Amino acid sequence: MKKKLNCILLIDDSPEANRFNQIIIKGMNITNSIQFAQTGVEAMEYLKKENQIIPEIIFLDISMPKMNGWEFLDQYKFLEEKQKAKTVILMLTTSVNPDDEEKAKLIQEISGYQNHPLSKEKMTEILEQYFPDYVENIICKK
Amino acid sequence: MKKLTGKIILVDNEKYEKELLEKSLQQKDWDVEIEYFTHSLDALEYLKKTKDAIFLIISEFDLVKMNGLEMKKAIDEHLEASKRAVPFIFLSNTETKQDLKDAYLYRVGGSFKKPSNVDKQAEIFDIIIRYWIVNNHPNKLFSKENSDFIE
Repeated sequence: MKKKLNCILLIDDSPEANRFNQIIIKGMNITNSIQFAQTGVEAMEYLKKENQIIPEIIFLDISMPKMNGWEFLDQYKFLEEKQKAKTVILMLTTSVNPDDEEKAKLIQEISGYQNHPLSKEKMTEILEQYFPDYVENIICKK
Repeated sequence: MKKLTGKIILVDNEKYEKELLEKSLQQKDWDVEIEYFTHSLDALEYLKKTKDAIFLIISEFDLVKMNGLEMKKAIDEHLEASKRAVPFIFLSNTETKQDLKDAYLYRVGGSFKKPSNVDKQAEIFDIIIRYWIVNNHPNKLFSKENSDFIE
């Protein structure tokens, strides 16, 4: 690993998904911090805090209480540029509705669409695509 | 539901762990009060002062400010908290072999990997609870009430 990401933010209301994703990401040792938000509201609060570590990757679920993934994106657009920085937003969802994937393609803020579960292989592909400087050792281990 | 006498203390930085513990206990019909702490220093302060009946302490190894092993050492160094000999286990995916060796030097009752789903966790905690009900140890102040659940 050349260098680590600063932060990955997981937005998902499922405790099972959060634990599973944390095990995958932590096991790869690719980020200094993993943050969790169980609703879009919590995620917005996190991103709006002063001096917050801006996540390089946001994994976003669709179906959540209070504020779902789509509603989160509606509000995300209005964040200040410094709060978004160079964040890559990826949908990570259990949704099997093909309309959701089509809808995601039309939203500029969304960089990719993945189905649960996350895996080391999927995570490596994401890093290769968006953060090639961060994957040196992972690629060597393949 | 089988109502346990004594609380379960959970120390883990991730709030979703409380939900996972609740779900896994409910799945096996255990009715038990969970006292949850995000931070180990808060848990330590509570454990030093409390007179509450505690059945079990569950902690992650990897905690900010004071890790799980440091918290266990601090509990052991505090005479009153140590004398209560409340069973203490780790539930973690981050422990190293050295962590494990160190843990058993400090009278840890067990160390378990966080399972990937609630069903597996429910099985594991059912075994753990039954084990601490039948096991003889100084904390068995509530043995009479809880032993009714073991045939």
